[in-house]
Amino acid sequence: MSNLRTIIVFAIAVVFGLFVQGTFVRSFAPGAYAPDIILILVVMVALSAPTTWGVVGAFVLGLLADFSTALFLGPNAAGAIVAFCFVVFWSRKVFADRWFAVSALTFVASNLKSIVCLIMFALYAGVDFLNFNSLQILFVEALGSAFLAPIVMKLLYIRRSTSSRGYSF
Amino acid sequence: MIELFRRNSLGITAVVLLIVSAQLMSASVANRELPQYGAGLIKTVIAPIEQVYHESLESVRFTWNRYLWLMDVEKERNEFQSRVKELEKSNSAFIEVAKENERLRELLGFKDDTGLKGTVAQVIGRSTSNWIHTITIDRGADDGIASGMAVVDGHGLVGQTTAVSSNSAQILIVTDSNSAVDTVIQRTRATGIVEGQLGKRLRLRYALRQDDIQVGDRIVSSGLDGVFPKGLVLGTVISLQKEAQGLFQTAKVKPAVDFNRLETVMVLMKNQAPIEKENPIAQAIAAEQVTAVVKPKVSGE
Repeated sequence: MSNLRTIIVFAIAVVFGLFVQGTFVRSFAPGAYAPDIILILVVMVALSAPTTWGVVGAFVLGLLADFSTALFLGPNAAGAIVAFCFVVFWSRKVFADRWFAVSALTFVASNLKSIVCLIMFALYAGVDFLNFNSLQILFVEALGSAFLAPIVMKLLYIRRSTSSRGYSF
Repeated sequence: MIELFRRNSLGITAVVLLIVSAQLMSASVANRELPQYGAGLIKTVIAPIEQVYHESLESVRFTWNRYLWLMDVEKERNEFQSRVKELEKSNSAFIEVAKENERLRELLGFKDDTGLKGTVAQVIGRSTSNWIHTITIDRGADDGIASGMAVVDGHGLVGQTTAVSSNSAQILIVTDSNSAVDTVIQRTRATGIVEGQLGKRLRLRYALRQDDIQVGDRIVSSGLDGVFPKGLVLGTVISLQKEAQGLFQTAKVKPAVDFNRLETVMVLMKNQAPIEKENPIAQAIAAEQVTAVVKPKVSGE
């Protein structure tokens, strides 16, 4: 039951995240680079469930992000796995329950994910990404994600604390 | 062996999934329809949320414009009265241009000969990725929309449909770095490929070095790629780049469409007749006279 509830809450978070990072943000700031909510969920999974199932979950989240673009399968999935492994590795070395640590982890994880995506675009689709624009998008996206990460996690964890059963992360 | 796997299960799973991701990427490049199977499902879930959000936003805008705005109406009335006088003067000039444009359109056969038909759709969603530029519209397979249809707005070419669900469709806009359109320079008919670039820009490539291309030249689709009908405007050349050596020249292109503010688009149904007919009079006018006749009058009013 607890697992089912976790999956349902996560599914809602994914749908909501895809909506927020796409339509919602861009309706207020046309042309803006949106924070990556899906990556924040990946970081959250990595902090809560640094297990084999966790990495599968990160892969699925990345794949959903790929499906939402309807263009390529794989770049976001690969990026999510790399970000997941990075967070799992570093969360053992920092105080991951502190908001600034979460922000810092998310910032670097976002950059890593984007770099993996760009490498795959370059390798498979021949996209030229070595320019100032790419760096700009990379940085702004990571900054936005890092800013939002503690808030998103706080929201989801508050729900967990009010539940008597809790989530089995 | 099993113990080794257990101890490193996370790392091994991660490596396996990375390989799977690379394989999926390879497969989706080879077969562009592959990502669209799941995308349709995701769009079916997200599109209603986007639709509700879009309608709510429109309601708020309506309320703001119609009611809250009235609070300042007294203050602005005098200003508007003076502006109305100015606009009345310029309006007569615009009417003349519009009538002339209408006559030219009829001459070119835009109205009757080409018979371009499409479905008008509202933009209800934006791309979920900063690296891929797409929009979502509120029309889908139920309205006859299929993958690979050209999409335009009042100013020019927007892109092409990719993933289509029953009530929504995703459009890959031309500024995406995975987009390429076969084009011609309207003035000289020199050919080239217009590609999207990161940062929502366009670039003309593979135009022969000796071709006459100048800043300000308008670029239109050639119709040779089988997706976009001939004659749809992509943008204007804003700078040229010729390397010391090489066969080709490249140019930066300013898109004709403001992609950040797209609200309404038209999806062109397949098997459309080309916009620029194989008619010597129409081609001559399209290439030389239309902009020459219309533009100076607008700017000179």
